[in-house]
Amino acid sequence: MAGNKIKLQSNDGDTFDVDVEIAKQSATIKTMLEDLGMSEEDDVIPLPNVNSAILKKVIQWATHHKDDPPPPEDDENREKNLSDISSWDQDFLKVDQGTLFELILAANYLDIKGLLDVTCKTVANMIKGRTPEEIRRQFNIKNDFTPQEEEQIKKENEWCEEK
Amino acid sequence: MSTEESTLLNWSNDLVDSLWFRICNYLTVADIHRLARTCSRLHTLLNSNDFWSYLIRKKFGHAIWYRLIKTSSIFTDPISLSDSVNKACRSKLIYLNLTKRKQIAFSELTRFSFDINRTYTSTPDSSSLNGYVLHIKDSLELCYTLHIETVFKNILPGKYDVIWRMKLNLPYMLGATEFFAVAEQIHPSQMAYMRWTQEDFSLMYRCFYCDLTKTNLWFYQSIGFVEIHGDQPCDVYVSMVNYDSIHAKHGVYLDYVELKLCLE
Repeated sequence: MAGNKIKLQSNDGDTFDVDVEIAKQSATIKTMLEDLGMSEEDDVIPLPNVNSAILKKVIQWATHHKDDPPPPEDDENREKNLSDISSWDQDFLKVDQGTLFELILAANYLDIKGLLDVTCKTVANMIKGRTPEEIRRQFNIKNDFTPQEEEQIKKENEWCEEK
Repeated sequence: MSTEESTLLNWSNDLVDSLWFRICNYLTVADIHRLARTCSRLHTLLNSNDFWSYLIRKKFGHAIWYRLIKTSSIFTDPISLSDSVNKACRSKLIYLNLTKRKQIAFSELTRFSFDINRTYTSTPDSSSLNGYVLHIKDSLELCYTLHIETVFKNILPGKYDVIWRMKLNLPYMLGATEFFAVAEQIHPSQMAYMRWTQEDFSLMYRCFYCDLTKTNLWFYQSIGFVEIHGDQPCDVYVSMVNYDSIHAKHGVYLDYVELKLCLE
């Protein structure tokens, strides 16, 4: 089994040779392989939602994490620990906003739970403790409230703010 | 979309709802409120029933989600657990209620009804919930029954572990000391009940005392479970009694009693 490779094609036409076991961290690709019986060396899996720069990053991530234990099916009831991003992942995710954004979309589309968790955690860390104005700047969010609405909304949640 | 163009991304518009939900899974309620204040789309999304019931499911599990959201009519009528006049969506009220720790400190003397046999006062203790604890210390000539009772208001349906935080110092509690917790509901469920004799108190005390470094340690004692059925919040009564009237009672410190929601 070891050494089996498949070809992944990005939406801008580049193809990447990837170990089947690494590629299978993507539940989307795993399903394609199993449902379509795609195992021949020549088969190319087109990934129309991912460009080559992002696909390269995703493969880099999946290669590093190839020996990780499979993530739990459902993480209900698990304590969420924000500081549990490994230092490798932290370095890996020191990227610009656009790349981080596209990595989230790619992880979501390819259904790679580990990558999706770690990218979402990273975004959460960028939100934690920040004011609305800082969050807007960070994520390029346009403030579409009138000053009156803004004041109203600010009051709305005062009653249940955590102390 | 190339990486260069995407520096102009507006995250609020371009990220689908489910991904915002996922991100918020790692945020506190205060963070979520600040995020909701950034723009109207996130404000609507993060104040929706869908969002808060997703969080309930993620944090408290399927069973509690099913019980409180899927099949229950809690808060569909104007009953509100909050003191607020503001309207909040139903699943958000439930979420806030679930995350709130249900603890009553014994030093909040006004929240208890006590027997009138002795004067209850609180003593400072820096390791306690709110800085003060209740110390039961009859002098030897005082020999009366003991009765301490409190009530948790508006507790959501679910199963709760009833936990007492106590500390002992040469406990002298002859007779039966009984701990109860019961939910006031139409179809009564089993009550949480624990009965300790002087021997039980001494055993617990010695268990610490053998190890001198652990003298006078606080411990958490579960007295059992209370289950609230149905789909209405109800009150839970908690009490500690000792009807022995011929011995003084001494050497027990009480910090707080807690209803701890059991997941699954």
